Amino acid sequence: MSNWQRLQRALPLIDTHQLQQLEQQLGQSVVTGLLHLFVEEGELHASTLLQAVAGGEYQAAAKICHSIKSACGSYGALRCQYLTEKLEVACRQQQVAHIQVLASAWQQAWGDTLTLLATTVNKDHE
Amino acid sequence: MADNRLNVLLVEDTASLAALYQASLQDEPLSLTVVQTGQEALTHIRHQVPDILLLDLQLPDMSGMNILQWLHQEQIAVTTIVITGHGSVSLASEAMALGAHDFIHKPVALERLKVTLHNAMKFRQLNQLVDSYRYDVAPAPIPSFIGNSLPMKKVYDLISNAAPSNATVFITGESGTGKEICAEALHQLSHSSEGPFITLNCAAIPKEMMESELFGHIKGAFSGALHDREGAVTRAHGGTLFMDEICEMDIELQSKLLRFLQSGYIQPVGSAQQCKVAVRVICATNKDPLTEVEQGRFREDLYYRLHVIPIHMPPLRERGADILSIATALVRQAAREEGKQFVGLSEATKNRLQAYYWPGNVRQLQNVIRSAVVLNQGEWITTDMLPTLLDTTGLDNEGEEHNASILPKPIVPLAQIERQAIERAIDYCDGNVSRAAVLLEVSPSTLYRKLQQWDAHHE
Repeated sequence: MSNWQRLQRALPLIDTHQLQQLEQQLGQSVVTGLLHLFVEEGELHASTLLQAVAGGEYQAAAKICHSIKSACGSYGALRCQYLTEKLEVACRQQQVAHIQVLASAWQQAWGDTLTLLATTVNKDHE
Repeated sequence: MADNRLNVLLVEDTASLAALYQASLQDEPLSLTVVQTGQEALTHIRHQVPDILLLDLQLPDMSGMNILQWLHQEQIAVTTIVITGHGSVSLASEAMALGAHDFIHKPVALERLKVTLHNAMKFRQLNQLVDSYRYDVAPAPIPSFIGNSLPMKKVYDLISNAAPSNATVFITGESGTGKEICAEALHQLSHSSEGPFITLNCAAIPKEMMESELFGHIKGAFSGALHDREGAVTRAHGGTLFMDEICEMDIELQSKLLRFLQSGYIQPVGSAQQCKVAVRVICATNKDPLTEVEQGRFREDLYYRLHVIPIHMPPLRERGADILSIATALVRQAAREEGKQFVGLSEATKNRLQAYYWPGNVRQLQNVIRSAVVLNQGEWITTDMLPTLLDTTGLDNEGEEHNASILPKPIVPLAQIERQAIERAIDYCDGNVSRAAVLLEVSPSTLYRKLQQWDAHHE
């Protein structure tokens, strides 16, 4: 197992401390609304990203990664942020084999993050 | 009431990030507009230049650097904070070289965003303050005047040289150009400044009362003359008599005034006695006195007796940057008197004031500023506080006729006219190319290109 694989597994899906900080600064209901938007937009981005990777449009994929990376960073989606950063670099450098592995890892992490976020948001609502 | 909040434009294509920044800034004293593409940003800026621009460098349709380059090229003054991806240090420094004020790395810490924005606000306020002091009065050499434009320097020289003399001064100029202030300055700088300064408005006094107002009367001179009364000339003894709107004086009385100017003696109405009076006479008109002479409404001999030292007060539109110095001084004076917080003029207001024709001159400017200060709150006079009249240049039919009277002129090459127009505008704006570009309705880069061409040609 390579270094990046070990590291990404060690990273939490969500930095709960960061989310708590956001809640303190903006209020819980505002953060819940923002997380909904993050998830909604993230799903759109995810689908476009995976299509671009599958179609070999790596420059376009790198651009999408750049947007996803910043949003993940701002909402505390740590593992996705890390993987998107790696994927962006791989896409820019056209490392085709590496891109496929990273994209697959990213897709897995993204799904897990969404599930966890859904739980968090629902818990907030309760 | 005018909205005094700063206009901030956020250019961010990731909706969840834009919403996050928006939420964190909702309690700040600013009005935030969000656009997602570079093209939308350019359209917005062309329509309304924001005070602060929060600019993501990676946009879907162009790089944020293109927007910075455009702002730099067009010399549009916006305090810009660029938002860069983590590690893009070289991009950030490139952005700073293009005039960006600061940069923030993504992911953006909300506290850092606020601090950076607060710093930008302070920077902008300080800049405005410094700018407002640029138009602060480098004190004019003559008290009670503001401005150091070339036409006014000529007036100051004339006043300084004429004041110590006892020669009669004839002041001409449009209404509101400061003829009475000029007369007062002549008196204050004269050897008889300790003596009285008496003003007589020849247009404001009925024809039949004018002689009595000027030379006085004795008891019983006419019905209602219950006591002896001194006229303006006698009251001005040992000082200065300022006769405003002299061309409105009745032609018969003009001969009596001429006699007094020649002899130094007056004869009050109803009196058989003459008395010697030592008075310095200054007169003024907003008409062309020679035309009045030609039309037979003003005596030619009186004209030459009065027209010893002529001083022409330039209209405000020919005084270049004086407009801003005067307006700034008026804002502060009105703010003090009205207990308001105003300290100066916004950039757009400066452009608007300089583009206007000012048919009513300084008096009209005084009214515009006073009304803006009285009816609004804030620190800066913004364009929405100005009357809609100023949305135009103020050139009316009278102005067109005035221009027509200058014609015909020899035909000159178009390039020469263009160069003259540009040089005049830059001169009018005190060397400020950006402001000249606004008045000429072209981009500053166009003017720079022209200036470079002429320089190269000259070399």
